[in-house]
Amino acid sequence: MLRHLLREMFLLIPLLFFVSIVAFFLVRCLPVDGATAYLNSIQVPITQESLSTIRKELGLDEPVFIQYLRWLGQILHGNWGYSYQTKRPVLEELGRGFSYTALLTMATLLWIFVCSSVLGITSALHSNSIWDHCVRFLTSFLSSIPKFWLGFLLIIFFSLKLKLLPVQGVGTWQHLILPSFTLSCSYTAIYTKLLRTQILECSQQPFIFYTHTRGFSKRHIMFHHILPNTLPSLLSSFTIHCGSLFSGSVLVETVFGWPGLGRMCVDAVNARNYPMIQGYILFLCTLFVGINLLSECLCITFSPQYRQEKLQ
Amino acid sequence: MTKQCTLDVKHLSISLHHKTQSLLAVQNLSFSLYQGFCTGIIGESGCGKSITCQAILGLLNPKKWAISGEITLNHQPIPYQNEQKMCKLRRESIAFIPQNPMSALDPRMTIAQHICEGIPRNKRNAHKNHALTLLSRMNLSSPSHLLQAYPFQLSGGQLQRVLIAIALLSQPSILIADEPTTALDCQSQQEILMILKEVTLEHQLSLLLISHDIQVMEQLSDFLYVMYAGQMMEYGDTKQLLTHPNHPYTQGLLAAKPVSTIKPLPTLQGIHPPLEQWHTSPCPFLTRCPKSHSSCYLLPETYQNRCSQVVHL
Amino acid sequence: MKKKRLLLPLAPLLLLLFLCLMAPILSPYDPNQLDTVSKFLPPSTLHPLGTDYLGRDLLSRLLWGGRTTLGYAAMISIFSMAIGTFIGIFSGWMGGIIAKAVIKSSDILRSFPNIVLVMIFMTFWGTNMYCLSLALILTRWIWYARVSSTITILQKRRPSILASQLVGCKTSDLLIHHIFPAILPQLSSVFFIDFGHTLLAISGYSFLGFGVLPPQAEWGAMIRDGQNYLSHPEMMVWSGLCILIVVLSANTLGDYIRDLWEETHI
Repeated sequence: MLRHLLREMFLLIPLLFFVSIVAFFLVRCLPVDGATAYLNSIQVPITQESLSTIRKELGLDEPVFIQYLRWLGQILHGNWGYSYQTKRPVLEELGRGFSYTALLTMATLLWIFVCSSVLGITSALHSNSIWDHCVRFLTSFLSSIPKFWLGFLLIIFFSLKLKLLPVQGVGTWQHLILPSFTLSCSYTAIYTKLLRTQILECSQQPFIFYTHTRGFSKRHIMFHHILPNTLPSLLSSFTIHCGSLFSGSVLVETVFGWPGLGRMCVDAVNARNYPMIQGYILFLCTLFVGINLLSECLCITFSPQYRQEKLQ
Repeated sequence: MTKQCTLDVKHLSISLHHKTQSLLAVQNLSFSLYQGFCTGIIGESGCGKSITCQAILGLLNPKKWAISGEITLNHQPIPYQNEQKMCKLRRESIAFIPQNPMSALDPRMTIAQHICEGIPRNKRNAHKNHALTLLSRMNLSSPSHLLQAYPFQLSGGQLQRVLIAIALLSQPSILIADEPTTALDCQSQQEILMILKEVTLEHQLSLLLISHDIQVMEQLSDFLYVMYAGQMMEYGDTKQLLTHPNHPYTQGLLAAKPVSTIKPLPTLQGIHPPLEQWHTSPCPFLTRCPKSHSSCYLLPETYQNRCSQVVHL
Repeated sequence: MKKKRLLLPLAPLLLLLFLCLMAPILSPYDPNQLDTVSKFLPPSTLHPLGTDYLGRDLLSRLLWGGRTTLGYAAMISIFSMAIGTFIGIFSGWMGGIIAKAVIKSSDILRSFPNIVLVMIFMTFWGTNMYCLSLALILTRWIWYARVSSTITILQKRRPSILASQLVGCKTSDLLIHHIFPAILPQLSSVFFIDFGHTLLAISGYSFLGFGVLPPQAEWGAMIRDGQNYLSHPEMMVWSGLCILIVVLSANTLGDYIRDLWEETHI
């Protein structure tokens, strides 16, 4: 397995190179010239003289290939440029934003895990009962509700009317509850539905009937056979959603004033903060590639058949 | 010789709730299982044989199926209402062998994990050793390697033998085999039937054999019940029934048989080798050939000449 | 029972569509008519849903906003479906590396957060509604392409298709009269579900300040206006409720079509 992992990581290097080229050239494709954009950000009047000085300073008069190599060297040394807005290093800003986003994502995953397992398992066990119909309606409801609207409704109810939780911002663990719950709603709906379907499908499998004939209790069969066999499909869905979770939920972070990556992206786009946007694209693509690798490992660990296919 | 009755089924009727009406799947079925004997239920696909097995095991969904009648084990009524007692019964007294061995085991777990499932940690080694003894008795090569394999890595014949070993591990008094040879090739079928015959006598089990194949019944069962559309058409001693059938359905079943023989078919010694051993000797059939000679171990041209002489190709 | 199931999601969707379409006739006031004296008025006979922080009638803004939101959502979904289906059928029919490329890129796009791609697009080409629509079409066509491509590949091998080819049937005829009807049920299911997602996306971007610019009425923009006046929740409750009803109906309809198709084919 280690050999397979190393081989996958080796294959990722050309992909990461491609990602860096895309990130570099995307900013070069801007309608606004890089030098003009920089001068705008430091509020220096744009004249022929200032433009040529800046071009020489930023190395924009050199051939594109040399510019790319220099830029790549800087990236690999940790110099991702400076944000036009805060004047701080881009990597530092991204790191700070990512730490807040990661915190929010962890809390969201906890909500998703608890809520979808409880709802999914109970509705599968009592399929076609009133509870099952309620859960199915709830999942449809949660996957249709606009996240930002739900966030505001929760703020109005819990923060303004009941005064139980803080309205916006960061600080204590109570600040984490509402944003993570809001973010988890649509994913809970997806996973509850998926878990319910997978449990019902798995229960019809011949090996489950055989396990019943061997005299194991229903609870043993659920936790040792049915649920573990639902894992591969849940994991493959998880890898699809992982990327969007970690990139930062723009809407929820805006509603709750959470200083994560998503909000950073919106602010950067609004302010035409090009180094920030470039750094964000690069950061996100690297994260995305890493998540894919992680999901590959998880699939190999949890599915012996997949393991046999991949390692032979 | 007095036969000791282990399982007694009296007037069993099973009906299915379908939309607004009730459909009778099994009607007024009565039969008994005796220790050390094999009772067979023969009938076409869909006549209600498997439903009867599921009813005896208590695995029919009460919301869909209504069961009436009396089923007693060792003269005690089976406690179908008590799920805990039923689990204990299935673990200790009644064992089941399914039809399709390839889909009977959880694909995520190795054979060893299946064998040791539900066993306390301190007793696992003893349990594994007992399983290894049973597996080697069933003519399986390298059973210790088999334990580490996953179900999708084994063949149908191997898996069915593993399932029989798992069934015997709990030392049950009743063994229900639901069409155990249907999904297997002819060679494996014969071997499984031999194994079932041996274990019934050795462990003094009551074997309930379900099949649609009359040749299987001829070989294995002592008593035969002929079932059609959920009802018993005829029953009696197997040899008697098959030589002098009374009911037209039984007569029809017998007439449709391709070859009529009471004697078991001759079998080849050994088993089909696994893929790794196919090319270890010039002729792959060498280890099982009744006509093999020392010259077969020589170069291919030599053994081909010999086989053409022996077999007259 | 089946007809009752269909009526439940279809009725509210059609009702809202009709009401929003009739906005020029039904709406009592001009949606952008300011009246700072009558701001935050409670519901009354004059203003059935009350007024917002600038005194604009909420019912009128809701109806006109619905026209904007639903109109753009429908347009984007239809365009993505047209482009995606065309490319999907073509790549599925050609098979080989083209089909594999389409399926692989749809897998990558599915896991990559769409919102990031749209933001990047808008960085370069502007944040108005036309750029947003284009960005959404460019990210959403791939869903339809995948479905069409997969089904075309399966249908291509049908004996009736092979027989038609042998007889000399033109490829275009085969695609239009044989392949496309086979794709239609699943495609319509995906269309309704996608319509719901597109609606959520448009209202989401308007909430963030991209797409529809003030003072134009739009459901997401109304929620944006209301976020600074949480003590007057009526400003955002009605628009959010409308979004919820439309998306819920669209999702249910999409699921219903898919269940119906699965029942007849499996």
